[in-house]
Amino acid sequence: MDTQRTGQGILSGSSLALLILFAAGVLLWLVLGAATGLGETTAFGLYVAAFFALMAAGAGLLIFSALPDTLGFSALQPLSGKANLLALACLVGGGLFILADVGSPLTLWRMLTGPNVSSPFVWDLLFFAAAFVLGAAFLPVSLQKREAKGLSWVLSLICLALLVVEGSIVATVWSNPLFVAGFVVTGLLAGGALLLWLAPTDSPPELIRPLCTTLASLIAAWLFFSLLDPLTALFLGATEVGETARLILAGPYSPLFYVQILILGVLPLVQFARKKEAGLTYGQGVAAGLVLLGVFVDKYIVLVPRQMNPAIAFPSTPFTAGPAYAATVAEWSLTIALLALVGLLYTLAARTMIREVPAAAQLPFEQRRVA
Amino acid sequence: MRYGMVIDLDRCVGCNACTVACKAENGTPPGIFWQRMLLTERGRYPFARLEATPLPCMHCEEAACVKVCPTGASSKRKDGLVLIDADKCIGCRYCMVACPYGARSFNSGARPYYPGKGLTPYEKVRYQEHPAGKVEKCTLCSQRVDKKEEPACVATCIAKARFFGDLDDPNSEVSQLIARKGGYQLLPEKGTKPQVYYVGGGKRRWIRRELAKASSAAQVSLS
Repeated sequence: MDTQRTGQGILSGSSLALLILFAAGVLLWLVLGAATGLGETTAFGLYVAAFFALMAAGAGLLIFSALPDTLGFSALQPLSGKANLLALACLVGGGLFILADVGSPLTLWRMLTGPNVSSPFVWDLLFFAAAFVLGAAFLPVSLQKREAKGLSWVLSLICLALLVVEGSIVATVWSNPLFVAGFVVTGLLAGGALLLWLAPTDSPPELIRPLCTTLASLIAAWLFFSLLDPLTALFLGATEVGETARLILAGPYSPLFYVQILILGVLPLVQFARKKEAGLTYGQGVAAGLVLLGVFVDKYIVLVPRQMNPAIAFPSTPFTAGPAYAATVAEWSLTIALLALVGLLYTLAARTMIREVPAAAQLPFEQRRVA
Repeated sequence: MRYGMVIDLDRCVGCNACTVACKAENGTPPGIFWQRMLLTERGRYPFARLEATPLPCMHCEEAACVKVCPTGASSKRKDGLVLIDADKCIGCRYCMVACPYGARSFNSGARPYYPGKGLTPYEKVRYQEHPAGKVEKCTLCSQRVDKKEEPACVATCIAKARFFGDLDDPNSEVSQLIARKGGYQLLPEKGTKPQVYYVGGGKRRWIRRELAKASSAAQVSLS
């Protein structure tokens, strides 16, 4: 992912590989019947989970890219432009997942042209659109490492609001307001993990150390929000909530829950909490990958019907003893294709935009002003 | 004017005449029930009994489905009926997630009542009223109400357990029944203010738990 260090040849190769993956995925999806989300019996499926995961990553990255201006974290300045570009690619990918879910541009157009302002879905779309527009407006600022305090604060707050609105949609389904906090945390986690992937391997400790500490703190917060509810519910005894908690912790759904705790919680936490003097390590890169996978799993199991909690009555889903939905090969192929497209968009944009930054603009803002 | 319904659970015998009348009036496809019947076994042998609770759409004053619908396809008429505009519905099913009563169904496509035989001429005509990929639900028979007729379920109820009228009129039969027999709504804690009231039935508190799986339970009991 390190575009500045990888060189022209490798970058072209990775772009080509992503292009082939994208084309193959779309082709397979078309051959297998071009499944869309809303046409299926299960309303909330893989596309919706992927949309929420990309929204989390995009919003989280934008908040991190604005950090040099909002909280004065100047060590992050060299990565701000890259983070902004990748965030925009994630938001484009998220938009395409929504299109895949609703099935036709006309349906999406109906949502945009006849919105019901009391609907959280509409607020989700509005904040998504606002985050994209503001992120695009922030791009020249982050690439040229200029200062724009007002814009960076507005961008950060809009991204935060996007995560809160998405968390509140899921909180309604689960009747659990903790999901709002959980969505904010997973958004920042996804953004931070991607940022670590974007960092050069010889990054200074002033960048890597606080980033790893932040990620470790966010993971601890996520573990707190994820474990608090089922563990306290256990004390409710033979009630419906208590029974649900038991099913999550020790029932047929518990393997998914513990896999999530392991890959998004324990394993990366151990890695990020270690004290390191040198730059970015291989283990930290792997831990960041686990966090990204964990965020995707997190969205999948809280959004897709009965992947973890059998008590949730999702629409059009028969009551079953185990998970009621398994994504089809067609859905997986389009999901992989669109994720490849996100990577492709980023690599192409980074190649054309980041390399054109004049050397003088690499200087810290204060020095440029003096010059 | 605020149309509403009262269902007397002491009179309801669970015969499902309302369910069938609803299907005949509205021509709903297999698996889709605008009027559902929740059948629940209570007590232990030899004192076990089956209790029936009819579940139409509650046409709530503060309808959660109307609030969450992203396109405004679900809306509330001035006379209190909550209706769905199929042209505006995109089939996202957020309304189904929001509705605490499980009153809505998703129509995934025209299915024949006689598998392998194709659609009958009747089905071909009636299914035009039920476009695929849309959410649908009880309309309190708005087509009949507009002609000053009662909903089909009320007109057909053998036990005379259902009553329809204006909740804003204190002299209407429904208002009188609610006042006289202590009418109550289902899941009042949800704040949706249903316009369907129940009387009798010992204020079934267990219904809260049963409603969570109402859609599947009711359909299993009917299939």
